[in-house]
Amino acid sequence: MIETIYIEKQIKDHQRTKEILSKFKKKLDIIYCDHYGEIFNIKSQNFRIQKKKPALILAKKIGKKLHKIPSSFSIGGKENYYFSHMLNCIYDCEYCFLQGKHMSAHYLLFVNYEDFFLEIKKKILENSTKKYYFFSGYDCDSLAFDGVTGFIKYFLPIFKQNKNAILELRTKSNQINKLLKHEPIDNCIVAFSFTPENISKLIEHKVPSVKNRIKAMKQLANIGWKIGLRFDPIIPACNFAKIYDKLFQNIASNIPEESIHSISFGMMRFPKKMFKKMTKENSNKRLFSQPFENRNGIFSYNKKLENKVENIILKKLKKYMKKAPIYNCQV
Amino acid sequence: MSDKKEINIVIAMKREAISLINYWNLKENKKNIFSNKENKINLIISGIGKKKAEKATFYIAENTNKENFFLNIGIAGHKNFKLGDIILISKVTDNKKKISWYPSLLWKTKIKKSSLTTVNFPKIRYNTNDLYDMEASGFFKAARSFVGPEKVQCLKIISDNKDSSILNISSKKIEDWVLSKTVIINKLVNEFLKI
Repeated sequence: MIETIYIEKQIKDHQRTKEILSKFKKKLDIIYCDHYGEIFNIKSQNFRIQKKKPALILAKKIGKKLHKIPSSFSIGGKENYYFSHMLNCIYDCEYCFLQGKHMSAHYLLFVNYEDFFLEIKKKILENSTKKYYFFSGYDCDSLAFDGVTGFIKYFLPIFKQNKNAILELRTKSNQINKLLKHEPIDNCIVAFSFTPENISKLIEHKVPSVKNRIKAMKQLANIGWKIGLRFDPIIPACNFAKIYDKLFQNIASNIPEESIHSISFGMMRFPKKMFKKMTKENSNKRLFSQPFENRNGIFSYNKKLENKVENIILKKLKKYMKKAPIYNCQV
Repeated sequence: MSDKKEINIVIAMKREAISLINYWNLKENKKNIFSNKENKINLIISGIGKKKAEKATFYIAENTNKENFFLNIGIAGHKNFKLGDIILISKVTDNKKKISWYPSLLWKTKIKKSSLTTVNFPKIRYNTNDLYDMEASGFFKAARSFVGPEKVQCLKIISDNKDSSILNISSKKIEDWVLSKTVIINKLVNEFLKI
C-alpha cells in the first residue's frame, strides 16, 4: 500500500497528478522534489529493503520516450518500440530484471501521457502503410497498477484511432475491469505472462494465481480481445517438461486458439551489470544457481541447456496450440 | 540485519542527549562516544551547526562501523507544530547549498512527518511549512556517504514556533521534551535496527 508520494514540483498542478492523488483515500505523506532523480537515481539504495514499502514518485518524462526493440524480440512486426510510462512493478518476481536495472524499488510514474502520445503519433506518421508495434509492459506491468495510473483510459482510445499502431499490454495481473468495459480493438494485444503455478507460487510474489489469470484471459477472449501468451522467462525447474505441459494444456482448454494473437517465450537473460547486482542481492536464491554463462555481455543459461529447453517448450506448445505463431526471444 | 550492525546517533547538545544517555545507560569511552553494545547504540555529541554535525558523523562512523544505521536527533522550530511534538523528517534541504536528501520512509509509525531546512543561524521567522534546524544537512551529507537513504534518518522535537520563539527555550525544557519522548524514540530506534 502506498503511504508516501514524491511529486516533482513542475507537475504538482498537472490534471493527472490531481486525478491520481484523488484515488488515495488514506492520508498520504506528500513530499515535493525538484527532479525524480533526487530519489530514484541516487546510489547506495537497497532495492530489497525498499521493495518492502515502495513509495510512488510522480514525475514528468523529459527526452526520448520511444525505444527500439531488437527484431529478435518481435511478435511478428518489423518496427518494434517500447515506451515506459512507469518504471518498476507492484509485483516481486525473483527473476525480474527491474531489480537489477534501477537503483530504486519505488514506483516512478510519468504523468505526461500526452507527450508519449505525440512521440507515438510522430513515429506512425513516418509511413502510414507500415505497422508499428508498441510495447508498454517493458519497465512495468501494463495493467497491474491501472487503478491508479489510468493508463488504459488514456491510451486505448488513441490506439483505436490509429490502426497502423499496434499496442501490446503485457501483464501478470487480473486487473481487467477497464478492458471489459471497453469495446475490443483489433490493434491491441493483451499479453499475459506465465510460469507454471508451482513455480509462480514460489518466486512470483504478490502475483495473482495462474488460475485467476487464465480466468481473466478467458473473459477477455470471450468478448473479442486478442490474447498474447508470454512464457518469458522459461524456468527450467525439476519436472519442467511436465509442469509446462500442464500449463499449456490448461491455457489451451480455456482459450480458443483463434483468440491467440501470438505466443512468445525466452530464457532468463541479463546484461552483465544487472546480473551482478541481482546475484549479489539474491545470493541465497536457487534461481541464480542455474548454469549461467556470459554470451557477448549477456548472461543466460549455457547453450546446451538452452537448446534442450527450447526444443521441449516448442514441442509442447505446438502440441496444444497448433495455429498460433510462436516466437522465440533469443539472446 | 547482521548482529554486528548498530545505530550511530548524532545529537548537537548534551542537554538534548542527556535523557537518552540515561535511558539507554550509555557509557562514554575514550573516544568521546557514548555506547551500550548490548542495545547496539552509539551516540556522539557534535556541537551546534552543520559543520560540527558533519564532522561528528564522520568521526562516529570511522570509530564504529560505517555500515551502521545513522540517526540525527535534536530540536527544531516550526511555524505551527506544538512545542514538544516529535517529527520524523521526510526531506532535508540545505538552505545555502540548496541540496536535498530524502530518507526512505519505511517505518510503521504514527509519528508526524515533515520536511526540514537546515539554516546557518537560528531562525526567528518561519517562511515555509518546513521545520528549521542547524545540523541535519551536515549530518546527512556525511552519513549518506556511507549508507543509503534507508539507513539515514532524522527525528526532531519542536522547540519553538510562531507563538513561542527560540528566546523561550531553556535547558530544562529541552531535557523535559526529550525525556517525554524517550519511549517513542526507543521504539523507533528498535525498528531502525531491524533493517
